Amino acid sequence: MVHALKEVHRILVPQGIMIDVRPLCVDVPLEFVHAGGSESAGLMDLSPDIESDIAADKAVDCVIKESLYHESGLEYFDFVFYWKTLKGMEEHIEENWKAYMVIPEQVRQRARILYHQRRPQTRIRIGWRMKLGIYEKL
Amino acid sequence: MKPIRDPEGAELGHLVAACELDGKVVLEIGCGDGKFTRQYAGMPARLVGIDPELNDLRVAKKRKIRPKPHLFFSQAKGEKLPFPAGSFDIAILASSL
Repeated sequence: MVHALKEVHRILVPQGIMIDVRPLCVDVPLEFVHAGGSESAGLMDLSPDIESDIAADKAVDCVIKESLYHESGLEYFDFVFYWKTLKGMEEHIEENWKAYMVIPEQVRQRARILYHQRRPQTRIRIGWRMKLGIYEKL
Repeated sequence: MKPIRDPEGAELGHLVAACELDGKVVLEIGCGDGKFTRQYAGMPARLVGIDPELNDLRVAKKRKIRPKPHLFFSQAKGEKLPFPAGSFDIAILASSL
């Protein structure tokens, strides 16, 4: 990771900008959004990939300490996904996010209860917590 | 069934607020199938998306709706960038660090 950040440093012009945008391994709610509001089924477990998350932060810290970059901004936001069906969400997680996300059994059971209430215009929502770091080449 | 992804455009909104893309030479590392790249492809003077996954890059190339002479997709990894020194104004690490 440090090597990649040094490669980016090489290809940037002087005072060029590096943007690091990525999801964080913090647990996020599984929510059922409907016409009357929203309800949480509980927190999704995002711990499986936490070592990569920590390593990425360490790599950024390392190149800042080496005075290759200056951190000029840091922001957080939610990157949201919506599904119409619970099955659709479960399949998507199994196919795409298995290495990053686990549905705890209690959350899965609660989700099924909420889904079968079939409230009007129900959508299932997961919002990944994102970090966007802005770094200027020194 | 595919999910609806970031309907509020939060990622693009934060990127545009973070840096001036208009007229710049931009590299996106980890562009995947170009979903995010296409959202801001009209802004930079030149935009290159790289990813190690060839199948994703093929999708990205196919989905270039209108010919954009300044938009390129190439196979490469962040650890070995096939570009000369000082050739980009902005580099975006898109969930690739």
